[in-house]
Formats: sequence, C-alpha cells, structure tokens
Amino acid sequence: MIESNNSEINVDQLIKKIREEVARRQPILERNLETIKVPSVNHTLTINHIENLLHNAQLKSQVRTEFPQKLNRFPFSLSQPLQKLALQLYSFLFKEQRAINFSLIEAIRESLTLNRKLIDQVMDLQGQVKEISAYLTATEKHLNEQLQAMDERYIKNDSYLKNDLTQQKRLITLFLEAARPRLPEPFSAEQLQTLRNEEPHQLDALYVAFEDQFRGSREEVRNTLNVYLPLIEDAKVGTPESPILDVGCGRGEWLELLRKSGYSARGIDINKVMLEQCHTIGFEVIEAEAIAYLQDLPDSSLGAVTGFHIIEHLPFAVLMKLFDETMRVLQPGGLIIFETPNPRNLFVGSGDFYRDPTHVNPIHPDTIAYIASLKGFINAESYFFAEQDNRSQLLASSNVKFDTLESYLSISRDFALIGYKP
Amino acid sequence: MRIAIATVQVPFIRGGADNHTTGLANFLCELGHEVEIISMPFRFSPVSEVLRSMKIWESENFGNMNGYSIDLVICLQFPSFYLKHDHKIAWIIHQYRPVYELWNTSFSKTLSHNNEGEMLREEIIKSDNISLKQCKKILANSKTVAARLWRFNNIRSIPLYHPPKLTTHFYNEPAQPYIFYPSRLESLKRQELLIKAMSFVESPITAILAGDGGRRKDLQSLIEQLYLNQRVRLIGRITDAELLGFYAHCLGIFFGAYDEDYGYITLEAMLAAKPVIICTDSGEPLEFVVTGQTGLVVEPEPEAIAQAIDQLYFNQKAAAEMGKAGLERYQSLNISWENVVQKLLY
Repeated sequence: MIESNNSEINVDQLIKKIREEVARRQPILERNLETIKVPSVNHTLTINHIENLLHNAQLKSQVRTEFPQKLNRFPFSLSQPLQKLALQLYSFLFKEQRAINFSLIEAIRESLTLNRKLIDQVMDLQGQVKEISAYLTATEKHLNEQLQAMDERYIKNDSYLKNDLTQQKRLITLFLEAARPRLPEPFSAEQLQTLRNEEPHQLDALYVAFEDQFRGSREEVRNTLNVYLPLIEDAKVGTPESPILDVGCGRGEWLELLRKSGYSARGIDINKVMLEQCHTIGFEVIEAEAIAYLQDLPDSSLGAVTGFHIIEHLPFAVLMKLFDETMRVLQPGGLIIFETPNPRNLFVGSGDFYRDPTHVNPIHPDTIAYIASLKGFINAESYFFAEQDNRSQLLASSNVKFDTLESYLSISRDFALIGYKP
Repeated sequence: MRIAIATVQVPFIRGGADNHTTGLANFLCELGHEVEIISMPFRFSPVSEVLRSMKIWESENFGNMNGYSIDLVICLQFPSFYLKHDHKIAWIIHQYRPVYELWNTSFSKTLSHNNEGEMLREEIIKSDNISLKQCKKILANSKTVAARLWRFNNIRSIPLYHPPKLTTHFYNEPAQPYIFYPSRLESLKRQELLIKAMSFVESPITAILAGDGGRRKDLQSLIEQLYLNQRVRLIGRITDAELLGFYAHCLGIFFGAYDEDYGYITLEAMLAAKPVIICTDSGEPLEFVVTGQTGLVVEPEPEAIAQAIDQLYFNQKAAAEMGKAGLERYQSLNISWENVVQKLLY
C-alpha cells in the first residue's frame, strides 16, 4: 500500500528502486526460463488427427452399395438394373485397389499403435531419467558431506594419535624410572643393557620421516646411484667371494640396485624402522653398528665397502677407525665409495648441510681424499657429479677450478670419495 | 507436417506481430513440425510501394518450393495472404488498416483525401476479397479483427486468441505510486492521453512510459510543455525482466490505444494481476476489461482518465482486488498455444 503522506514522489528514485528489485530477481527468472525449455509436447492432438484421417479413408474404401447421389442430377437417370451393373463393374474393377487400401490402412493403424506405445515408453524413460538424476544429485551431496566429515575426523585422529604416542612414550619412561626402585629385585645387568640399547632407537621413526622428506623418493635416489655401477664392474667385485657391504644402508636403494645388477651385497644399519622396511622388501640387512661389525670380520673378506650419507654422521675419531677397519677387511683391489654432502656447494655449505640434526661435521673433499691416501688407499680422489645428456657422470675434484662465484653455486650438492686397496 | 508461416516484416520495428509469429513457429516446432517463417519487407507508404508489395505476394506460388512440398501455409499479415497455395489458411493479425477502419479518421488523413488513396482502397478491398476466399480457413487475431472483416469485406472468420510472450513469468508485488504504460510510441497508442491526464490527477502519483518509437520527441516536448518532468517519465526500451518488474510494482496499467486489434498489454496487466484503465474506443481490450471489476473503461478524455487514476489511488484495496479479478478472468479464457494449434491445424 502506498503511504498517503508521501506527497513528494521522486520518479527517478522510483524507477531506480524497481530496476534494483528486478536485478535482484533476475537469477530466479533465468532459472525459470531454463526449466521451462523442456516442452511438454502433447502428441494426442496429432494422433487424434491421424486417426480421423484413417477413419475417413476406411469409410471411403468400403464397397459401394449405392449409386452416388450426384449422378442423379444428370438429365438422364439410369435405370435400376443399369445402375446395379455399373456398380458391379466398378466394384470388380477396383477390387484389387480396395484390398491395397485396406492393407495400407491396417498398416498405418498398427504403426500408430506402435507410435503410441513408443510415446508412452519415452515418457516413462523421461520420468526414470528425472528420478535417476534426482537420486544422483542427492547421492553426490550425501557423499560430499560424508567425505568432509571423514576428512575432519581423519585430521583430528591423526593429531590425536601423534600426541597420544608422545604422551605414551613419556609415561613409559616415567614408569620405568619409577618402577625401577620398587621392583622386588633390581634389573639384572642384562636387562639393563637391553633397555639401554633400545634408548638410542627412540628417534628411529623420526629419522625415517626425515629421510622421506629431504633425501628424495626411493626412485630418485636409485637413479643417482647408477653412476657407481661401472666402478663396481671395473673392480670385478660383488661376487660371493668378494661381497659388497653397504654401511648405513637406510631404505636399501643401493642394495636393490646391486641385487638387480647381479652383485652379491649386504647392508648394515642401526635404524630399526629402516631395517624393518628393508626386511619387508626382502633384502639381507643386519642390525649392527659399523665399526663393531667391521671389527668382527676377518681380513680381506670384502670386495667393496660403501656408505652413502654416512660419514658426515660420524665423529672424527670414529671416521678414522672406519678407514682403518675398512682397509683391513678389503681384499686387494677392493674399493671404497663414501658419498657425502658437498660443502663446496655454497647452498650446502652455508645451510642445507645443517638441515639434518644428526649431521656432525661437513667434510671437505680435499680433506677426505688426503686422509684416505694417508690411510693407505691408492687412487683416492673426491668426485663431483656432472649432468651430461640427462645422465650423472663423475668429475674428479682436482679438475674443477673454483675461480668464480658461479662455480660455487653450480657444483653438485654431493660428492663421493673413491679409493682402492692396493 | 511441413508448415510455412507467411508474413511481412517491418525492419527494426518490433511489435506484437513478431511475438505472434515466433510464438506460433516455436510451438509448432516443439510439436515436431517442420516450420519456416517466410517474410518480406513491407513499407506503409507511398501508395506505389504498397501496390508493389501486393503484386509481389500475388505472384508468389508456394506450390513450387524447389521440390519441397508445403503441407500447410499459414498467412498472418497483409498482403502475405495474397500468395498462391492449395492449402493456405489465413490467421489475420490485421488488414491494411488505413483503408478500412482508419479511413476518414485523423489516423489516415493524407490517404483518405486524394485520388491515389481512393484507388488504393478499392484495389485492396477487391484483392483482399479474392485472396481471402481462396483460403481453406479464415481466422482472426481477435473479435475486433473478425468484426472488421465482416463489416468491410463481408467475410466470416473465427476469432482465435493466443498468449502473450513470457506468460508464465508475470508476478505481482505491492503497488508503488505509478501508472505504467508500455507500448510503442506512435499515434495509435495515444500516449498523450495519459500525459495530459497527469496534469489533472489529484493524487501524488507518477506515470512511467516504456517503449520507443517515432513520437518520442513530440511526447517528450509535451511533457515539458505541461511542466510534468517530475511526474511523467519516458524510459525507452526495457528488457523482459524489467518489463515484468514494472508490471509487478505498478498501481495500475493504462492502455488507451485507439481501436486496438488485440493488445497484449491488457492481457499482460491481467497476468500481473493489476487493474487496467482503457478507453471506450480502445477496440479488443474492451472484450477483456470488465469495468469496475477488472479495470476501468473511460472516455478518451484526459480528465476522465485522471479521475480513473485517482480512483485507483484513493481506493487501493479495491484496485488490488480488481487486479486479482483480472488474473482470474485471464485464467478462465483458456488462451494457450495448444488451443491455437488445435484450431489452426485440425
């Protein structure tokens, strides 16, 4: 209702108001237009029309029993017998045509019935399609809702489990400490040892997660390792008599590559989670600490000792021991391959090396090559990696000049020490 | 069925005839018929052009269409029904009005006062009579058109109504203080009646006129002359959505055309459930508007129209009731394309 006290009307405002209202309404109108596009075609009209035509046709094609009225208008009128004769003649002459007419009418009738059935079926199908599409829409909505709920639940569970695990760890430690003095008998030395042995493994899972995050996928790692295979081949090691030992085999990529190439190899590691992974895949891996393991081996029992991203985790004194023990257990002509981050690369040296909290010291390629030769290895040399035709190649460090800033940036992020037992 | 719809076109001018033609063609297509709209340009003047157009249509034989046989030809406008075809029917929107009911009126002054006009008149009446009698069926757009055919040509025809465009989209909203008049701005539509009336109204109300046409300048200067700038506004052509909106919100519709053939505006106002003010000489709208019940029928005088507008304003409840009654009346008329096709084809 228009307010009656509103004596001053602004026609422009009025027009604007209506236009705004129309604009608000527009989407609704468009949707309506869309739905109306599906025509509800009424076929009954057409069918009735066809039926009428057929009806007429049938009436006309009956046998004529009477003489057409029109002919009576002629000045002469045919006598009754003559009319009869004419009709008979007509009937005889068009007998065949009548038969054809009847057949045709019958055929059209039947096709009409068929049409009607088809229309019914189409309507039925349309109905079904509508139902199905409504059902699909509902299902989709339902599934989306469920997925969303599941996502939320999953995230909640995940963080709950993580937190709970940390909490359990803490509780067990507390419990062990509290339980120790209250036990009727103190732990035996053996039991204490077992417990102590397990202590360093607390971080195993964390380190695996770390490796997965930063070292690259299994596939990527295996591809970069291809570069060492020719060395193994040239040294003619990796036979059952001269097996290869991979120290700190980790997820076992190198072992996998060697095995595939037909070499005899085994690995050792101290990370229980990684060992478990290797066992699952079916590699021969031993839980052992490098130095202790090597110390137990007889002299000249290995063809090669390899270690990828191991030596930077060792204190200097242990590293020295590693060289000594390796020299002892290698057969003459056997070789060492130790890959480690390259601190000459500016990114690695200035920061990336320290991403791994278990890294001890960056190792300079010159230093390690010098140490190797001091320890009695011959042809000891550090190698960088160079990409050529999409393949990694070894590049002797003595051939690389670091005379521009660019060379510090482009040099490979890892290097490998390679040396041979005389 | 293969159906040709024959009509004429007046390029760049849109009116009811376009809706009529396309609406019919679309519906026939939906029913599965093969439909073609066949049209030619038409010029209202000079006389020689009208005669030329008649000759061209008369020489058209639709029996021969490059080997395609047409089952039915529906002729809509003068002079398309002059064409030759064994199964042509006419559904006449209107004849050439200047020589019939507009003859000797102010709407055809020039023509009715010279020999050339007289000659054209005779020629058209003669040719209309001949060609319409060739039709298998003669239908008229409205009772008004049917009555003219009977009066001037002594030809009987069946009045057949069809629905306006957007029939299902009209809606109703509470009244705002304006009277709405959407139509082409030309003399037969008599927009000036509403404009003049606006200087007599007592109620605080405005008038909004939509549409464009040859008389726009004249009407605008009339508004200025009467100092009605703040009361009357010509808003030009509007979109369908806007049209529906302006119908929905108005207090009422004015439709004061002279002797309208059919007039969608009355029907659209009814669909929007709004009261309609028409004049006693408005033609077919008189068939739809029941005065005092679905609208008001008044003399074509500004004062009378102003009174009617005030009546709507000061009795708004009654006005809204009239609108509702109009919608009910529309629904009772059974105006639909289904109905049209049944009458045309069978």
